[in-house]
Amino acid sequence: MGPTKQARPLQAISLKGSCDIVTEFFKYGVNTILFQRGVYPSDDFHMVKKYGQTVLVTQDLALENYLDRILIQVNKWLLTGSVTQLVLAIIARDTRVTLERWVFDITVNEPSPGGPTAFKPEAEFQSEIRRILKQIVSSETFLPNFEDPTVFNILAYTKQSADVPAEEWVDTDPMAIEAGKSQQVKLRSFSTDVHRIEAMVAYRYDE
Amino acid sequence: MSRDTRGSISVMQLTTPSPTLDDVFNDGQNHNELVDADVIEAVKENIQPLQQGRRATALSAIFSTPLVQRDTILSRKRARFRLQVTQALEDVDEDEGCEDPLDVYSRFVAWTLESYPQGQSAESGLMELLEEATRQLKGRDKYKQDPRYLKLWTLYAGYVEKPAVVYSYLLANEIGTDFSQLYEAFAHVLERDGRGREADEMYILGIARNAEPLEHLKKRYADFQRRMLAAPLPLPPSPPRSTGAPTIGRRTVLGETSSRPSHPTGTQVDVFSVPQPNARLQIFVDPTSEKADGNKFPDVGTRVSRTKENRPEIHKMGDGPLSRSRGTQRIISAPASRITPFRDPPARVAFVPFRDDEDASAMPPPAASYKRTASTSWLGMPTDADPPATPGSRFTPYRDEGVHETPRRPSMLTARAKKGEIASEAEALRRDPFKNYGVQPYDV
Repeated sequence: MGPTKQARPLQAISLKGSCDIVTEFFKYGVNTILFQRGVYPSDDFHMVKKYGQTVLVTQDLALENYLDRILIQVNKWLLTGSVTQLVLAIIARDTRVTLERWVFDITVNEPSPGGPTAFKPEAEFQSEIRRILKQIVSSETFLPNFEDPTVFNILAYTKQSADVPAEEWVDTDPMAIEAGKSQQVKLRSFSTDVHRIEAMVAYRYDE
Repeated sequence: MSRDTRGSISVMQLTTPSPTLDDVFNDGQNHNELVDADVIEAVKENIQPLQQGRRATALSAIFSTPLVQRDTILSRKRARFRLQVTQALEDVDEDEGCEDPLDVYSRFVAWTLESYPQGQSAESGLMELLEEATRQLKGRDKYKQDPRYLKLWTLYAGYVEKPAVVYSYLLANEIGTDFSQLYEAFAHVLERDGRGREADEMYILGIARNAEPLEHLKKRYADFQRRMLAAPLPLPPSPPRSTGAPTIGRRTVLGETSSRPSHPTGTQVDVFSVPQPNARLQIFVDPTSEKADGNKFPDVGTRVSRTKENRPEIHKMGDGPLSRSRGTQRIISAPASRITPFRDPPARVAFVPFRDDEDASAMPPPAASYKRTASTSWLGMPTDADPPATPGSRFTPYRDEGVHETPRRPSMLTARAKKGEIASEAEALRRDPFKNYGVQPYDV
């Protein structure tokens, strides 16, 4: 909460702005997870400055393009309010067993009738995002190490009305973790004035 | 660290109102429970990550119970396990129907790992438990190729300073040699120590023996080879060895030189020369010459025998002062005129406190300890020790009772004493994993 005096009132964030923020968060969140969980070798990543700290982002062009295409579509869905959940599923490459699911719930804050009342300063949701990233990193303490190579999939839960480009997105099963072997940990959330994102990780734990 | 209950986070309540550790551990129920990461993140430095990961529900339950409560619950559970272990160990000779001690130990270890997220500590006694489990069950042939037994050993090796020693022991004693896990773990440790060639041998050995699962071992070997090509490690000179278990490195004398020896050798050496008296560094001379023993790894040895170079020979303390020559450095001594320590001149007049003539006992004698040599007590009797109860004086001065602990809280004391023992025991085990084996850990 900045104690500074504002000469002019804070701008309310627009829907587009909020969608951009959320999309950006997904980009850096997915990159962080891919790095932390070793889905791609750490050499593939380089550091950039974002959210007031360094974040690791992939240098692998193919991966980057793949992610960008996905995120462009996610952005469109956000603008139309069509997507409710985004899931990053990590599965074993050879056995196709789902090992982890990083689940991001998306809810749209209903605008209050008298116009937007609270302007959330950028610094605040930036710090919320930082905390989520930090929690992703510290989840190392309890997440199992992957012995075998893994691949990832991004799943989007969309509303019926959503416009889904058929050539890029296919219907799929939820890639859930085997029942009875799943541990679920809820991470922090962040919200802009318009959207609220909640994060959770479910991982497979064999007794 | 307080748990944050600010508005933006909805803390999911655990399904049971006051979770006991038993609930979570007797498992089955709480699989869909949503654990709050904040609880874990707050204590993440206290959690030792495990290869297979940890159960978040268990972590949350453990760190949500206050410490005291946690301790009581855990010690109760541990006592139960202890009982089971003793029973299983006794019964096993009689009939096969009852608890398999390996099973009990495995469960005990798994429970300890989960309940003490900080890993090896004085409370958890994890290392002693692993040492005990492996040692108690070592003679039994039926466990030699049991994967659970190998797992106990592998866990133990993870906690000691030199895991390669433990793995060599396992190989020599044919424990777990059917499983590729043994070779992979051993090779991994060797690679980490920079012993690339030996790691390579280990993979080859495992593959040659068709260890299960073979494909996994081969894949690991391929990864290892790629790593070696990318960044070849400098291979240390390895002493000649057979294809069996690696022997303790032995060096024979290359030749005697007449010049002063300048480097002490790290490995044990046979008696080859009397160390010259002026040697700057003392060369260790092993008084017991050991026969080279070929392939066998009969004795990991006690900690004492492995570190005997570091231990100076114990001489009986003579009457004179410590001879200077034992140290490696000579300290220049002060010139001949020694400094004499100052002594108070003897008091000519003792301090006599005012006293009434009759009431001799009312006055406490002066603290005689300060001026033992010189002063005389106020009663005119020489005091060389604590003032004794003089005749006629009913006052006996306060005497420190010495170390006379009144165990007001016996549990605390014994716990502390035990902790002290355990802490050093764990350290001792870390340095010498086989210290409790006496002379012959190898069962013929």
